[in-house]
Amino acid sequence: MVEITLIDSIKYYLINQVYAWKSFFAYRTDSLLWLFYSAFTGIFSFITITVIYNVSSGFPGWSYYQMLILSSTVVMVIDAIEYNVNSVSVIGSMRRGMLDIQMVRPYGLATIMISTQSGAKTLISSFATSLVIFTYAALKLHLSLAYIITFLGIVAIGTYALMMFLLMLTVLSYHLFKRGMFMEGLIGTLSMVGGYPLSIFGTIIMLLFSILVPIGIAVYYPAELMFGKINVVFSLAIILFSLAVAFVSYKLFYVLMRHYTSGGG
Amino acid sequence: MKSRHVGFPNIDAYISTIIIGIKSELAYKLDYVIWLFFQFINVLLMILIWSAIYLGTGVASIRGLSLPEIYIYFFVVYALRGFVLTQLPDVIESDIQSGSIATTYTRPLIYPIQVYMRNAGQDLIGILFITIPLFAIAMAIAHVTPTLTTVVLLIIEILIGYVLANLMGFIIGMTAIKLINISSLESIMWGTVLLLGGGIMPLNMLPQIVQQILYLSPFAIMLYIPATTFLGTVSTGIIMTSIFAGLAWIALLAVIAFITWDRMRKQITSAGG
Repeated sequence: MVEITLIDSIKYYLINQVYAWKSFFAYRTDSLLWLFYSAFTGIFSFITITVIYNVSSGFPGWSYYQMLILSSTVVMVIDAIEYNVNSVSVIGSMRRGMLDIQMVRPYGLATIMISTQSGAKTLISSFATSLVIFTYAALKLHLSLAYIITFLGIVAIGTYALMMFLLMLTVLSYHLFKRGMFMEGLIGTLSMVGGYPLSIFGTIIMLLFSILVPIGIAVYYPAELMFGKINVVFSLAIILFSLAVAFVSYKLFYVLMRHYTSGGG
Repeated sequence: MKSRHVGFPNIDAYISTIIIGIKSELAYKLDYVIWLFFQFINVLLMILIWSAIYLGTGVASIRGLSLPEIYIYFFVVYALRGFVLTQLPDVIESDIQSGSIATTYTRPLIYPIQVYMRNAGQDLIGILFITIPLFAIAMAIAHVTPTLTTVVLLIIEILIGYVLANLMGFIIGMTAIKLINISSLESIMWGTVLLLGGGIMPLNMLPQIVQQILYLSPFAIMLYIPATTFLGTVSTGIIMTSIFAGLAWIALLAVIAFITWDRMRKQITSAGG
């Protein structure tokens, strides 16, 4: 039996990325238009926040630049997740039996799904514009590099946890619905909710998006820590919770995959 | 490629096309229920976001819109989104990519009308399950029965917005003949309509000069003008400006659509399958 190392898995992922990028540029005009449009999705949220703060005091306890950090971070987090876990594509390939041939390869199932069914490449331009907005807001807030690195570290852990959670949920959606509409709708809602302080939605929705669908661990709570709204103990609890979400999601993913039956092909 | 010339419109065939569109839309019922669920969730979340802004600012109204009016505004806007976010380019793109344009084009039906009818089925379902319920909620919150003038203006505005959206959708759909894959253009159209049409925030929140330009654009009449007409917060002058601008845009886009179709149809090739 072939021993697969982490390096092998990374190579497999990167080879698939090269293939996916080449496929993406097969329709050059469309791919360039996509990159152009995608760049604007980050700017849309910038315009929205700017207009809101221009006509009002904005969100209680959150300054304009803090909101720019929050809204640009959620775009980057969702982009990073969607780049790797394209739920609609995964469910489609499961339904058509396209995933089956990939599953015989000697890599982990999660690695195979993330490598072969990765999402729209256009998200890279949306990520880039959001990074520019993030940098601009961070400079205006005079945030220290240590703060930013800590913030991005916690965001990275939360993003990984959320990615594993959504991967598990994608397989669950396949079992329940056989189609990707639920995941598409959920990610759209997460993009909307995550860009605003969870506290404004009330306790029930705040708990829902903190625990049940944990977008909060990837964006909102790290931002709260950076702006001194929560203490270090609470943020450590958030990190532990993120790791627990990632672990449980990973285990559940394999449990659900054991019951996977191909949709045909 | 040449299609059969049809002298008299085959009404029965077009009606059948609408029915097929309705059946296709409802083929995956659970999908549709899920989509509806997220539409309602998103409008509620949008209301919560704006509630926080109003309560945080501590004012009764922002740019002439009170908090209850914002609730109604977003219910009406979400009700109308089904009208303007047309799937027409998607239908044409699908025909081109799958190669089914060859069989579709040879039917004794005029292709642009046929493709519109297929999409109209989806529009009708959207009206039934999204537009009517959300409008009903908006009316219940507003505690008002719109006057006859308001209803007439609303119908005119909604129709203009619908025709504009479909003309834009048709022109973008035609580019699939050259580009094959036009999902990006579709998204650009949707994003532009939502942002510049008032789908993300009311246009009166924007700077005055931007508002003036947008009232003359084809976007304001799609969402913002009908929503504010329903609320009664927009002046008659702006309504009339937007209606006339909308009609002018319809004339211009119709000419562009006609020329585009006339040129592009000669370049249709069927390569899919």
